[in-house]
Amino acid sequence: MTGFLPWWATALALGTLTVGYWLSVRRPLGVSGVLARFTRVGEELDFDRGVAAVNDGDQAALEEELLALTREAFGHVGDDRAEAAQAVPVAAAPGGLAPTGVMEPATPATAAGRSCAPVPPLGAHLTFLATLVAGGALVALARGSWGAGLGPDFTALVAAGPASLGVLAGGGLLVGFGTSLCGGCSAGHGLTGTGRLMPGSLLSTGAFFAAAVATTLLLAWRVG
Amino acid sequence: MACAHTPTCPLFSLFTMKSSLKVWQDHYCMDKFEECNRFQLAHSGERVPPNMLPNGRSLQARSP
Repeated sequence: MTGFLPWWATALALGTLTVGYWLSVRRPLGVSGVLARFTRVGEELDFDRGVAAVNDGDQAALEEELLALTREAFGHVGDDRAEAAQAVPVAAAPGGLAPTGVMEPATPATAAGRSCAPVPPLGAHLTFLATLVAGGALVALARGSWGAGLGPDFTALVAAGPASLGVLAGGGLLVGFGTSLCGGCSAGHGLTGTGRLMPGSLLSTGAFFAAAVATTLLLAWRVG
Repeated sequence: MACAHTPTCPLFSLFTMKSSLKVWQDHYCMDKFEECNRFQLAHSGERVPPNMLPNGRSLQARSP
């Protein structure tokens, strides 16, 4: 395998993937959001345990625990609703499990008012990231471009040797900071968000492209 | 005025299962929903754990 696919074929494939993903699983396709979950693994695992407690746990035990927490909160459990409604709950005890989970509203709605599907378990996203790396590696192997270096173009335009690693690390930090700041990356905003005509994504993608064009022109000027 | 999240809140339907649990609905969902930790989290744009009660306590996972 040599060269790249024509731009229109790539665009068609990306569009099909993005729209198809949304239509089939009702989740926006993004990479930075998936990566961000692994920066707070403890909280994410707590969240997954919470989902399991409600959906897959022993329902009798769940009900028993719920009744116990109701007694703790309101002082009693009974069928006297009028009395119970007057009860004032005590504050959550210190040391109780803290609310977890960030990045996504509880019931994120689409432009048409339909809600997203729940966030998949961490294991599903780990599989996604692993296959992302595997896919890239397979293409590199197929094209015969597998290797440790970043290629002559990168060396000529940016840096060589250890300095190139520093440039990459700095770039990675900036990408992580930027995507956290604006709630998505070029995949989430650029593909999924613009595909759904979300104003924030259109604005973000405009900023990505403007920055990319400016950087490319700067590098071209520097190299001559 | 009732909480706007009642149609989608998983705990709202859970509280309907037993009359003894309706005290949660009466106190939080139908009355002081601004005090509900779930409402506050959702209102701030954060993800709400499905097992978190309105007072911030959490139901723990148990194997079936």
